[in-house]
Amino acid sequence: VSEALVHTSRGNLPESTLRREVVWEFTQNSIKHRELYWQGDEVVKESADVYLLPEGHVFNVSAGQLGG
Amino acid sequence: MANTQAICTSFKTESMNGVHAMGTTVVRAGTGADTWKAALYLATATVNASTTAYSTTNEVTGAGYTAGGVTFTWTAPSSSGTTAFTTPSASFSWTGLTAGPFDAVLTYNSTQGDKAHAVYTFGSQTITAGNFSLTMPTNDATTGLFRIA
Repeated sequence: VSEALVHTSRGNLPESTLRREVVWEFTQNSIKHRELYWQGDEVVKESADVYLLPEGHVFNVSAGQLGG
Repeated sequence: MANTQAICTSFKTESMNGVHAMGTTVVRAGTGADTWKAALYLATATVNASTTAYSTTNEVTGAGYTAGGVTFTWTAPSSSGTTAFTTPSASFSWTGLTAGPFDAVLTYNSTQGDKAHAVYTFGSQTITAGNFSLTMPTNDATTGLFRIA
């Protein structure tokens, strides 16, 4: 059985030669899921999915006061 | 019964649909929705409330990214309670991307001279030979991506 290859910035590399890291980041505006593949101390592949949160994305409008 | 001062909710939804013009407006080619796009910006850029239109200045460049960003459609605007809302109908995504660091996406109206709509930030991110996606929140009055309350 051939080993799975991972497409990286250094071409297709055997998965066993890489270290996979998953990072979750939380901010006021988003939740981020990052997936990194390391070869030694170099990131050779990084993907991310960002879930946009609704904070700060609402426009509040109001009726003015007559004679104000 | 009593009268209550308010911005009419129907007006909020109709504003999203481009029904009203309180000033000089534009001649539309038809009654369909405009073409909307989403572009990524480097962390060194300055896109904010003062941004009036899409620009290539400090836009992301790199493998897997085309200047101008991706095209998207809005879910038909609707309302609940006194809030009108809409959300892009699908995630924004890029594949085979190598770019960054970037931390913002600008949504803009490609049909109307690339006029800016909104800036959404998500923290600095670099992508290396990978994929990047912006997943949308649930489209309702409390979490929709664009709401007029």
